[in-house]
Amino acid sequence: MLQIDNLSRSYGDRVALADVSFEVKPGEIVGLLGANGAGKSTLLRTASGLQPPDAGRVRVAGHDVWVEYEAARAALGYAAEEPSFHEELSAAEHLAFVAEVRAMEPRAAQARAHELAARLDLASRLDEPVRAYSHGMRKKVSFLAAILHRPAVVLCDEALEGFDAPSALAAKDELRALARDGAAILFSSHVTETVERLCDRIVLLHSGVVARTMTRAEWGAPLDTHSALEGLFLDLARGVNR
Amino acid sequence: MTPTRPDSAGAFRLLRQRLRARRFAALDGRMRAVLLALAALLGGFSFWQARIPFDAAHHAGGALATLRVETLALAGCAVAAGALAHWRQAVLAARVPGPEWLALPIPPVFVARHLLAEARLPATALAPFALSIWCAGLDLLPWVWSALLLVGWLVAWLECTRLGAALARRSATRGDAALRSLSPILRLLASGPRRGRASAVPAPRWHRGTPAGALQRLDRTLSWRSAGTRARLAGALVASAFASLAWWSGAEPLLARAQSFVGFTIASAFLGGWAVLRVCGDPADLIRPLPLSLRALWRARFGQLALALFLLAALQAGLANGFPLPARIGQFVTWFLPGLALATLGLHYGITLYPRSDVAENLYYGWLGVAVCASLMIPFMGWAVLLAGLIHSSLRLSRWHSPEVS
Repeated sequence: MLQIDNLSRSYGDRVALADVSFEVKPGEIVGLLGANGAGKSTLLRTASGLQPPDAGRVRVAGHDVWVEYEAARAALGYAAEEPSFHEELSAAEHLAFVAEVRAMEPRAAQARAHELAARLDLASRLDEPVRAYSHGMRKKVSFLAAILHRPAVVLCDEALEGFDAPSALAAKDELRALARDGAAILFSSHVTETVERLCDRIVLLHSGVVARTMTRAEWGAPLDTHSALEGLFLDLARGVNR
Repeated sequence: MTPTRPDSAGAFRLLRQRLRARRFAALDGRMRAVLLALAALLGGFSFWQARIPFDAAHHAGGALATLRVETLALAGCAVAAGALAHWRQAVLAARVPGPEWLALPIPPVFVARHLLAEARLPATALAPFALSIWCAGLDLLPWVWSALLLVGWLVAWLECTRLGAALARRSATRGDAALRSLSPILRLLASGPRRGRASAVPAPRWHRGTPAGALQRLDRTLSWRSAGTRARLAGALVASAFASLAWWSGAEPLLARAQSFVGFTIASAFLGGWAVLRVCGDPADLIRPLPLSLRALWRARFGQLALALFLLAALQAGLANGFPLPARIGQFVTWFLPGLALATLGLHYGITLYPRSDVAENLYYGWLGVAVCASLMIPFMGWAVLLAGLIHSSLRLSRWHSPEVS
């Protein structure tokens, strides 16, 4: 579903990605791990069409991102690490714009946007201009815009960083639901615990090259649920008196 | 560990050096050549525009009269530089990184100097004009006077830009009682935008449409909410009003038509500026991953420009009562097409230089400046220059597919 072949990218003399190849299959959540500067964001920005590669190619649902421009992007959702918006627009206006460009059925798009916003605790502020949003709220809007159309491929660049615990859990549930429906998800993070609990496989980047890939079985198969502390936080947030 | 004495002066010197190097590296070789050519053309134009009145003054009143005219011209340049510095400082002050600066052990004077240096940057664009004006009077004045004029202009430039920037900083500073005990620059740094609840905007209507239609709806919403695009549209409206009122000015029909055409052309230029800001204002990580083709992007903006200019040209043709119908139809065609070419130039630079709205605007207004100068030197030459600009920008359109968004 997401095929990355021999991808290379440099910034001047600095090599950010060197001949990176891997695949994310339908229904799979792959974690992209690496230290700061390992090339995670460069890979995701190149795969999402923000910057062209020096060499290699990225195929989304069989379409080359830099050749079949529209077809590839129609199947893609991208949640940015530092999302930027039209500060004067509200989150609802952004989502309506994204839904229209993606030719979504208006009522279904609106219903899904409101449902997702409610789950991420954003519903009450959907009509406020984005300039009034905190960092976490901006990340939520970016995440919402990325998954609104149930894309075949989701690229998440530190997507849950800045989320409060209940929203992070809801977002992880949504990603798992998308994967169950056949989406391929590439989830970049430097928080190993999140990746450990969410992903089926990891790709470890080091200095722009794939240093190692591992499956869940290889790292000890932790529970595919939230931790005790996350559970406690979630219960408190839901107002449950334990 | 013994703390070392911070070297703020050295740190800021290094910062400015790096900023200069970064900005220079951001312009590719062709762009540097274009900017140099623009500066040379504008300089040459200014030289001849200044030389004629200087000569006339010299013949009428000798060196003293020339000195008076040249001083006035150079003073105008210094005041314009002050206005540019004021505008730039106002933009910087609106998004000054207050907490980041406040967290550092920097004497406020260095921050003030740095902000002033940044504000002065666009004001350096007046240097080619001033230098040309100064050169135009060189052989008409004693060399001592010329030397004093040059020194005087440099001092005036420094003081006007200092004053312009200071006024901008002052108006951007909040007057809260809690901040009054702080120095002016610290008050400015503490006056950054406060994030809080903002009033809700009307809920959007969810449409089933095309990507181009979605972009047009986005443009309509943002054009009035965003200060930059609002200013360009307001400028276009004022120029359109001037173009319409010219028909009732009581001037002879031919003169009224010329006046109206000036207003129409200025309105077209403002619409081109609007297109630059709208295209470059779309955030990359919102727009780029969407299935938006270059054709949809171009068509959405070109369609709006064409419609606006069609209506404006039709209105002006309708108001030209003193001319027979064939002449009015001819007027419509010969106004609409150049106006559209002018606005399209802005659209093309917005697309090809995305997301650098500052570079796109500089290039766009630079071309317009050269076109105006060319037309003043040789009638209709400006339209040839404009056509060259349009071809140049059209050839660059495919760059949209290979962006370099850092």
